[in-house]
Amino acid sequence: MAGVDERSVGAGRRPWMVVADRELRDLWLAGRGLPLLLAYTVLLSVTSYLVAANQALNFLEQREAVGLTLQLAVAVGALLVLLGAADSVSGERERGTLESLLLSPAPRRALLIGKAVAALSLWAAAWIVSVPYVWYLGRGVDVVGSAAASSLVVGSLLALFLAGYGLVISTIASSNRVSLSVSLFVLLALYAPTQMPTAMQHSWIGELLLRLDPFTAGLRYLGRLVINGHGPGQDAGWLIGPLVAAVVAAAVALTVAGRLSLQGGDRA
Amino acid sequence: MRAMIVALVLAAGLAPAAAGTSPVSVRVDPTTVSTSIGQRFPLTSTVRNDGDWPVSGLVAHLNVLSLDPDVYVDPEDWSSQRTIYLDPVPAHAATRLDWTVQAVNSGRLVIYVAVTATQGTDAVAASNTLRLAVASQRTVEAGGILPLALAMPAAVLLLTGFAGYRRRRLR
Repeated sequence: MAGVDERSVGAGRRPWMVVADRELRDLWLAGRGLPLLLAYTVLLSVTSYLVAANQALNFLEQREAVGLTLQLAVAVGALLVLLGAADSVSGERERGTLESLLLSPAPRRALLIGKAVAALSLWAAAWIVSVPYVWYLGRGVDVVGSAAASSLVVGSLLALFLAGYGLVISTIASSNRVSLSVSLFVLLALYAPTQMPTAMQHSWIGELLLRLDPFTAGLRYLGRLVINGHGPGQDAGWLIGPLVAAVVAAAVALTVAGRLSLQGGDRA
Repeated sequence: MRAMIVALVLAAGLAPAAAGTSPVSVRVDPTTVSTSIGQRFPLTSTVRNDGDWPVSGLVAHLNVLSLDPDVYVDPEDWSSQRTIYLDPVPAHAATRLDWTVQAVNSGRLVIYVAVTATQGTDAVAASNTLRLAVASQRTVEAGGILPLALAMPAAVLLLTGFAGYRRRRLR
């Protein structure tokens, strides 16, 4: 991203808004935003078609078909945010454009907030794209409204968590490769509890691990709302993990923003 | 000594019904269900002890099988909880067990509950059968999704092309 000039900041707009504006233009007009969204729509199209047309998958009750597609849409949509956030600082560092950004009059915290807004826009676009699929699959079983609303809430919490988490790693990491690989590795580690044997998952420690993993907890909440037809408040306990993760990740990202430097890692 | 008595009671309780000595019996309700694939439905089983002694250490297990040899049934898919460890059943009393089952295969199927003991006997008491008729159901219209599945990526592809065109013009 090019540096933020003083005229923009002095024109009455808040610095983070100026940074967000530039980042959004870079992402959606010249960057990876649209190609990522294209891959996302292809994935949703293939999944929806298989759910509807494949004999082996079409045994699913209609609510389950909506739930399956919705969980995939939320999980992959949130992962797009991680890809955007994990690249945001370390990517600029590698491309040699971070220096001009750091020389701009915008506070460093504003730089990170602007980058977070751009990364979160990936989730916003992904959610908008997912709505027609959910609408088509959920026609006739009265789940479209609750599915769209719950996916917006759960996906936004996961996206905020991943944006904060990706920005923290990207700020600290000395290279883009390290940033992306560490981010994805930790996500895989979080996924591990879902692979525990069923008996272990039903124990208190197993359930605690599942509730602590924001992804598992958020997707289970979605499943119970859409598939089991529970009310929004009935399983709200499953949202505590994603909510806490989102708040903590955002707070840590804002704290780490002050340490944003030209060279990451130990050289910072 | 007490363990020996319990073992003897269990052995007697779960002896084959034909011998006429089995005080433990199990029954499933309802006995017929018609539903469509994907639907969940409840069923109950009642474990009765008609003997003069309490019976402990009983285990009930839910089983599903297809009457069609071409249909493969994985009971794990039908219910996440298929085994229940019972509290002691007093003499001349019964325990009711509730199960929730999801119809995953279509066709004619049978569900039954078997009861055995954790120790002292290798006998199994089986319930009557629940005869199940599961209608196959095509839940989502396959043809209708195709235009949407093609239109959405096409629309984003158009946007990508437009953004690329605009970028080249600005250069």
